[in-house]
Amino acid sequence: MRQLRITSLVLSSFLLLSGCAISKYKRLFCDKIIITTQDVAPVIPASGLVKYKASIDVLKNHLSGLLLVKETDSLTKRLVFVTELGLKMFDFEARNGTINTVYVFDPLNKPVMIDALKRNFNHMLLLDAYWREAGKCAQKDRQIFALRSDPDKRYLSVADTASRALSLQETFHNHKLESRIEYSYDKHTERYTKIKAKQYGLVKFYFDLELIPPSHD
Amino acid sequence: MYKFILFLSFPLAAFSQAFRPVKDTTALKAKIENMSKATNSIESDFVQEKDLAMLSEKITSKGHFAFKKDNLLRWEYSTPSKYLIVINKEKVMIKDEKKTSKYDMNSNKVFREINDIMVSSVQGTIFRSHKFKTNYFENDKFYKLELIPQDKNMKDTFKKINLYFDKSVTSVAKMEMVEASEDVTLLEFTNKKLNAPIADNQFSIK
Repeated sequence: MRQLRITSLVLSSFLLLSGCAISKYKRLFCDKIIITTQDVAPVIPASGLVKYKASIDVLKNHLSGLLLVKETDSLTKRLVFVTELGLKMFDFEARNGTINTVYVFDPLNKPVMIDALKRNFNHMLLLDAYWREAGKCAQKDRQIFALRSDPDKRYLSVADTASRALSLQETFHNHKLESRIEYSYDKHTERYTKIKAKQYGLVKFYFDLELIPPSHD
Repeated sequence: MYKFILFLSFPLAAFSQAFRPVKDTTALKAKIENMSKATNSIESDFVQEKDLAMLSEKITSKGHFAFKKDNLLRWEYSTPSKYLIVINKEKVMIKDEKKTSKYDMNSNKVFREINDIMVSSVQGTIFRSHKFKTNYFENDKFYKLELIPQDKNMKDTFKKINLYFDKSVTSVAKMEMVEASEDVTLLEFTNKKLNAPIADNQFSIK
């Protein structure tokens, strides 16, 4: 009986928490816009190469190395993850918001893993965020951009409208928090220096990206 | 005249660097076996260059490694990131800037494979593995062992691994891993110390 009460208490707290998480985006007054880089500063610059020290944690596995993101043409970006030992873990090609696999290291080649990597990198690096319909909403001291593709809802929070720097991105699936991404932005270099993501659910994923400044690579 | 001699000598220099098949492979194998038997420990600095087809520049990492018979290996990167792998017989410890992880080699096939390649490469005995078909080449400076993976999983990752030995066959001078995608990782070893004492605590996993 006591066990049942504890379980219901934990469950109800969880529901309350996830309810609170989505409720902060309710009652927003939004204008319909087409979201561009003039609204939210892009993570990947229009040309050149971006390097991040990267780590991915899933279950008991910890993977670290270098994430390289390069725009190969105006529509295409390549994402390559190489471990410190020089082993390539994956090579993805992003085009028009869709990520295709070029190569995946065999032990990682599991559908759940690939889907999670593609979805999270798509969101973290804003690869599929631009040139789509969004709600532009004002909320207290920040601007919220709401992207909807049922049953998913994504909210991009821009705390500093001058720099257009993204500070938080949350995605909900059927009203449940699916992922939370936090950004740190350097106004001087106009680059995102740290990106931390957590994917909730049965199998949790943690992603940590730390920008390697171009002068230090 | 000087330019003419220089022009003539250029193809000759290029030719001396070109690799040709080794005629007496049995003698070379015996030399490598002797080298491996005579080597109880190795310490060396290394420079790792990763050449990705998508990049115009190479990714360079530097570090130091220590090896001691049997199966004790410390492989440490100092730049651009701090990263350490310690292999102590059946145990593996990986420490990066954020986390320390420990694994049992027997519970993880990937680590078993990586351990086999790393340890047998620094010892030069990788050519004994049934997972590779070995071709033997030489030029004026090096012997080159071209290892072609035979195992399906290995083939998916590597097209070939080239091991270079100096002509006196005292140790591995460099190692080149060519991936199926033609991306190349080159490891060059410098400041080598052979059979110098190495404290056991270098390989401790706590």
